[in-house]
Amino acid sequence: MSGMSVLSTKLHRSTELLDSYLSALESIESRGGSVARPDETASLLAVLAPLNRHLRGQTYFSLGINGEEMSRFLHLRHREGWPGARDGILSIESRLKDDANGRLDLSGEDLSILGDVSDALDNVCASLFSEMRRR
Amino acid sequence: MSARYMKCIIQEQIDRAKSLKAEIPASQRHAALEHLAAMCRDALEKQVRLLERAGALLDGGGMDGAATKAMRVLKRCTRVITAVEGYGIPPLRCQSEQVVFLNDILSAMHREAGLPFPCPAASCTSGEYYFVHLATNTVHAPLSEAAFLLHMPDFYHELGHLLFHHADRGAECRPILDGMGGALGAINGWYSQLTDGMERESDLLPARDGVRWMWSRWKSEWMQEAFCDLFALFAAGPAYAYSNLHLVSKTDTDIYKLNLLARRDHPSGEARMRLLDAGMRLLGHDLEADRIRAEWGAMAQLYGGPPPGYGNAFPSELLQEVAAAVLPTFGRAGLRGYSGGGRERGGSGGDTAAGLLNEAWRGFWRDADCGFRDAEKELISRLAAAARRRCAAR
Repeated sequence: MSGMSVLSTKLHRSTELLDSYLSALESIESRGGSVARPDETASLLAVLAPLNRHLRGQTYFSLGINGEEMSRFLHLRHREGWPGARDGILSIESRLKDDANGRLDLSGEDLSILGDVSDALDNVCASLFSEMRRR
Repeated sequence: MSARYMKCIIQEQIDRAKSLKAEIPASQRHAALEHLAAMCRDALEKQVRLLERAGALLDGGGMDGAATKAMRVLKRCTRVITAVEGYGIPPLRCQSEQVVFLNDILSAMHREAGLPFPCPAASCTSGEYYFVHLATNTVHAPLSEAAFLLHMPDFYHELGHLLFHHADRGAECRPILDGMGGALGAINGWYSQLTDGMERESDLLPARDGVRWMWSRWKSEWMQEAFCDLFALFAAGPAYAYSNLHLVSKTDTDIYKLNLLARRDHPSGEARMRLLDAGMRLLGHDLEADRIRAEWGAMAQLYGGPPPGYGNAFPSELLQEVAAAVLPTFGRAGLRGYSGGGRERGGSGGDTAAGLLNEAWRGFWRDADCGFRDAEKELISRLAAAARRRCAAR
């Protein structure tokens, strides 16, 4: 009745996606920004897609990722630079989808934005974790 | 934060993980606890490796990109270690007869229903009624649950949360995923129509945000809770609906709870009772549904009426559509449900967990005011013996 199970489900799902995302990002960074494998693209898109659905104002069914909370975190981090960062996030998703077989070179700026997205998801996980601890 | 200080924090977490690993007993009293122990050991060892790697990133001494990465790793590892400490280790440190019994029961429920994911371990260390912790695959129940049967059907609701989580991970669960898609379609259809109507009536615009909030709750928490209620009803039969009636009667202070400020919560107790009523009738448990409706109707009169807008949150048509979309998919996915009686599942031919829990509830309605407690104790013995036989036979 306390909602602990729902919190736990969301936290677990978000954590799994974060781990996979960070692992892909680390591999891509180690190759200087080259996306070489389809599973890396899939791991990045699994996080970017729900975030971007929120950025585009679309409603969606989410088991884990909370695009709204991620967006709020990113907005606070970028402040006046938010419109540019927002466009950057949307653009990365679009390019990843176009190169779904994995052969894309991301710039240093792209990698920095993807790092911010991982921090935003990490922040969502931390928030869910704290909420569970409070109950 | 200096690199030296961060390295000290990392070392502290490494020591904590190692210390927790040492707390895990060498042998366990149940197979599910063996799995839990192995999982906790693996998780803690993994955090030690990740933290050692993060510490090595800082060996250059500067606070640059490496420090940002180390910080990210430190925070994630700290969460995992804390979760293992809070939800994984306590069941292992408290392996009483009651915990072994609860694990026998939970394993029997899991096996009888044919669930396509590893059986969770049970713990009786919860201060929060029943809940599941996904990362450690544990279900937590209050301390005294092993001594009573009437709320034990709630284990099925928690198994429902695990099924919900695993539904997109295997071809066998495809029908369930399709059913959730059907329920979501009904939810979207209902709220699209409602909000479209509000757009046309300027007087209703202030209420539109509240309706959008209801819509978003349905697409996450409420849908998940409804799914778990329906799975529990499928697997445990009327015993689950009785258990929910009992719980709401004892604990709900507001059966029409609709807190527009709450971010994550269950559907109201009243809405869940209507959902279960719809589900029971779909499953053919009409007599039991009538009994619950009579008891519930009398009790609901003790509360005031619903708040404004309540009908938009939990319309009966939508609850029925959700039940109709989700319930049939469990059988299509090969899961085994309760179909009446105590020996309904075949197999060993012995007492089943769902059968005995329903027998307990029939006994409660028959003898609640004269001798039910003695009968309940006898049923607990039968349930323990049946579950232990099954475990031994595996």
